Amino acid sequence: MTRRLLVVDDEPDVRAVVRLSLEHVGGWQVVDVDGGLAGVDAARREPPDAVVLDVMMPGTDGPATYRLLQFDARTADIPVVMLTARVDRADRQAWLAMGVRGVLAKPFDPMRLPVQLREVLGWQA
Amino acid sequence: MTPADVLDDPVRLRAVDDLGLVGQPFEDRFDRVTRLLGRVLDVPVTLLTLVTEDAVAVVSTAGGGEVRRIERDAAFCTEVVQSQEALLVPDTTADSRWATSPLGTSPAGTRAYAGVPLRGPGGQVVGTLCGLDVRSRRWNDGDLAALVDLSRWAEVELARGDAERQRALGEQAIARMKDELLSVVSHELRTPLTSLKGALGLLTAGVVGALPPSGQELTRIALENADRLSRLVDEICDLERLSAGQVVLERRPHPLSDVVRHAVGAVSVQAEQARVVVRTSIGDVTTWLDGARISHALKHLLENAVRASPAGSAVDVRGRTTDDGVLLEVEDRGCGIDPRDLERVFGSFTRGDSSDNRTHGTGLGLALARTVVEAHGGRLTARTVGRGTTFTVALPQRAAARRVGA
Repeated sequence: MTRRLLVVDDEPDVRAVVRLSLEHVGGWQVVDVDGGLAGVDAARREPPDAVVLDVMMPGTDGPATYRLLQFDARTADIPVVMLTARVDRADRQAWLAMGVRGVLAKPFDPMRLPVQLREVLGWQA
Repeated sequence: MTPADVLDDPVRLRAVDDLGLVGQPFEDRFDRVTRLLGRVLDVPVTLLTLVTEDAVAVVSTAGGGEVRRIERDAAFCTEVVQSQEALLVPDTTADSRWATSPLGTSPAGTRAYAGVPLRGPGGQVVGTLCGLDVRSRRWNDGDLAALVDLSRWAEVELARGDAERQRALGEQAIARMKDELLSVVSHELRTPLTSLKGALGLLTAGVVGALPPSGQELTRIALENADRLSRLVDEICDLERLSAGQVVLERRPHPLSDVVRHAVGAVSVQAEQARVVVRTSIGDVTTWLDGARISHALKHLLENAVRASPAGSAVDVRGRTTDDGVLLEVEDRGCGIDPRDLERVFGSFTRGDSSDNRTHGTGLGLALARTVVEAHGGRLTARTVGRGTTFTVALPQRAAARRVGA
């Protein structure tokens, strides 16, 4: 069965590129939303196989969104990967310590993004 | 402005605040003024005060003990600030203005008072310089002149402290602005770069359909330049954070050969394209360093060396222990660097030959490498002997020579 990924990012262009990469290169189904709360809402309604989460978003940012997902039994087990332009080592370690599966950097190579996601999520090709 | 307005004028109160002296320990530079005033006026108590919103704060005193605060209503200083003029009271008990006020019968037993206003750097009256006596005094012109002269000295000291404080605040503000700018640069530049590189990467790979050869050439050029811009952003951020001391090195024992292998691997594609061979000769040594960062620094040296190398030549990487640490050398067979430019190449955005456009470095690699090496307490130097350039990384003992498992 085709895996479903939820992409949460406030930048429409970034969402479009991530979607194309995950659909065309990764061969997955993608749902994308433009903010943290919308992401939590979408994850509750139809839990995806994984969430690709931007960090710096207005309002509910990436880490806050991650906590909201953790607080809800329906979404607590969904693996989350941060995709961020903030690649500070300390931040990365803090997020991993919170339980985030992986932290991938922006800009990313769209041909490699699905491979990197598979690696951190432990998915078979 | 009526007198009461002067006392509680927000601009004046802010001027007092800005001095940053209320509640601070007594300072010698003000104590010198009050001590001298005591001797000149021959009074038991002198004060240098700032009149705040709710009190008269003592900034310095000679003979006044540990008193730091006087009620505004109980102080002649309040009157001096209100009137913005000197106040000479020979005998408080004999003066009709004060006989019935708390000032005239103050428990401190002040019989005579002589005070002049002190102006802050902005011209507002911020406080007073004054002398108090327990006896009645017949103040003369000489007393007033001494007070006025010493008040000028006190004002100079007030202004000096203010200037230092302003400078410190300015430096903090600049550091903060730099941090903010960096954070904005890293996010606001990387976000459009993400879309740009993503879109170009998908186009170039033919994910949405094959492009004609000329189209492929164009997207390749666009993508390469987006990559270059992206590296530049990374390196500017790295360099700024390293220079600002914001980076904590994560030192662990690393086999030197591992660190070198990582760096060599990172330039293998570039070396292959340039038809340059990278040869390594690394001694069996385990060093105590931030492996990722030193490896990164070394990668910059290698990129630089490969760029400088003619096709078909070799770049040598040698590593060994020395008496006081570890030495890493990167030698190329390029055209060398003019001895006058050997230091300049470590600056930002400088290149050995600025007319050479085929080099696609960001111009920050060597600056970054040096910053990383120096953060380890080491040194990065360059020398040209005959043809070619040798870059030498010297890491001190402290960062090296810890054999683990031995």
